[in-house]
Amino acid sequence: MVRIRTRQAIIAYLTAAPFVLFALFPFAWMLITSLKQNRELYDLSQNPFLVHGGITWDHYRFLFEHTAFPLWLRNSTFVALVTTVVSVLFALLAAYALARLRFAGAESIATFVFIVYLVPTTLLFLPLARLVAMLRLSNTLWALVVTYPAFIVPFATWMLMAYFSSIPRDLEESALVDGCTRLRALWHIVLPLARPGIVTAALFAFTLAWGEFMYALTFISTTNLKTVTAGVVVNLIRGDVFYWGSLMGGALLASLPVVLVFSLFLDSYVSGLTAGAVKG
Amino acid sequence: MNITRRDFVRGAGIVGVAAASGILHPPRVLAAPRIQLLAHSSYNEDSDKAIEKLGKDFAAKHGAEFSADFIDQPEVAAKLTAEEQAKAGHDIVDLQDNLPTIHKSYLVPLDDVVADIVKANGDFFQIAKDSGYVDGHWLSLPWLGNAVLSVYRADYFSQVGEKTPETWEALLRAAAKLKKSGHPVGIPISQCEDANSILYPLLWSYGASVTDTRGRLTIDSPATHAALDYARKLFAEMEPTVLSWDDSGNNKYILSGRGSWTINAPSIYLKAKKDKMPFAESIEQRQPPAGPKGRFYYADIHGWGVLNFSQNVELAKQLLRSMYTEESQKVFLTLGQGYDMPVLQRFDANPPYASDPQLRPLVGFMKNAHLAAYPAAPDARAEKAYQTYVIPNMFARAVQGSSNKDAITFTVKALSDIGYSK
Repeated sequence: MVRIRTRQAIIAYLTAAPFVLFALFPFAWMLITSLKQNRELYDLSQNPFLVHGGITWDHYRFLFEHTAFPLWLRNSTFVALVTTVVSVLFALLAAYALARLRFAGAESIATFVFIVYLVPTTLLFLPLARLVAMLRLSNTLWALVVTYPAFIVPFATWMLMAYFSSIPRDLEESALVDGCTRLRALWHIVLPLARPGIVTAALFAFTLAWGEFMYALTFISTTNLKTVTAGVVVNLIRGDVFYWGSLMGGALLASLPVVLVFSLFLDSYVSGLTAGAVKG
Repeated sequence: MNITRRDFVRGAGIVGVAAASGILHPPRVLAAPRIQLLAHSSYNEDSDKAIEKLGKDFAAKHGAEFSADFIDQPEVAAKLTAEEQAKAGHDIVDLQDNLPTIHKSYLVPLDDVVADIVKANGDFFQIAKDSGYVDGHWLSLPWLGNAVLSVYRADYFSQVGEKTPETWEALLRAAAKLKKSGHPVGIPISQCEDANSILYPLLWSYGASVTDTRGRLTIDSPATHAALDYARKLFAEMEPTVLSWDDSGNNKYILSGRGSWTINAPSIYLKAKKDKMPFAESIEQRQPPAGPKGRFYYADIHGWGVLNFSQNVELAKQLLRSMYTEESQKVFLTLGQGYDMPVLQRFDANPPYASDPQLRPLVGFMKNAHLAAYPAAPDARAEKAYQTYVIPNMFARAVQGSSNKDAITFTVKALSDIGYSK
């Protein structure tokens, strides 16, 4: 029995190993590159996977002392958090209505939401640019807070619709029979049960908002107001000279909050993703 | 007071509509006019500083405010498109090469500004006019040019007994020796701007071009076959990684100490010098090689356009005029270090960087330089061909095993899809 378990564990680890390596490779690459001295970065004869000439923190120092990187991080955090809260709130209400309430055109609306989700952000940014200017939000972080839900809400709505469908209606109907209002049933019965789904939707919303580039580039001009995705690329690529060390350092640091958030909510995330998969 | 749900919804709706239409915005306080400028970020940070200085000096004299935003060149198009859709944003924008012709509906004619500048200083170079003069009007005020030169390690060439290659054929001879010595030559044959800036002039130097002077497709010609044959031979002496280089690829290749020759803007030379690299003294620059039909020069031109939805058109024009005074040009060209070159003939006579022997080949460069549309006038098709790397793709196919016929057929199809015809 023990031998079987050991063998199963070995097979599991061996199967997972290539995927883990694949997932970790970009992080390792970013870390190694960000710690190399410029001289070594330019030396093509060196093994790119190793640091030969000694570790340097110059690229990180440059990032924090000569660019607005801390401000970009702060801006990204603000935009991603506010956008996540707003988007998940809207998506919750929309998903609940579409999954639970019976009204004319519910199915068509659900399909429409799905179609909206399929519209690429590179197309949406043109009409949204006009909207942002009309609201006089150009070159402010609010331009991003207002526009990001345009692509996050449809996605989160579909994700939550699937999750709500996996929660038995009987629980909610029992509450309604006992005199609960629809809103109280949603608050006290459905939402606690839907927590993993909400967490998953919030994680995706945060990740999408954190990593967004096109709107961040086009709606914000001032360097100090940029988010980290746009700031790093726009300020660390100058003509045909790339500040590789700082670029990699910036990318690595920028990816850490997302890693952290996923790590904190991993259990909820996994159960949220698998919900509805075996709906009977 | 009781508020019903209906009252609340109605009230919220009214407030929402009022906010969206601007009714609820606070009354505007009379503020100093503000000029906003959007430019590409130069390799040379001092170039950006020069523009900021000129703008701020002007603003201080005119009781105005000035701000400049610098972004990576490839991102300018998206930014510009968004601002045009919104009809709001910057007042003055950086327009490279063929962009004035693409954005002409949104640009204020600058004929009066150019007339004043030409009256005081003489004519612009033809390549600058090619870029800024569209449909009978100056839609962009040419500001600077970026040239490309042969950049090479003089020590490596002398080690193999070769001189600076004056022709593509001489380069090929040297390339074989340099490869054996462990320091191959390298030009990008990939989807990047540097590849465009090298391969268009290579085509021209063999007598080939995308179109004739009237814009009719002429790429399917014996001269193109000859250029592809040459590229195939040169590729055999280079490292295959040139097929994947981005704009930083040849910089890195030379600065790593491995590469011996490439074509690039002076950024390689200037960086080696600035960082005091041990081999900086060995990096030299000369005119790009000549082909059977002569030596051809490629340059990028950047000009200033004033957007027609700007609230400060006249002030923007005044700022542009002020950028062409003797003093302003001195500031700009000194800080530009030769990476940024003048487009007005007068200021090219003795620019501050001409005292450096390695930058001296830049003097007079613009007189003979062309944009990608050459020999036709710039248009949107030329920009699309440039942005989609049609010519580098043709060379990449040829050097990777496609026959000349297949590579050219592919290119004719790509150019026809863009709108070219015979």
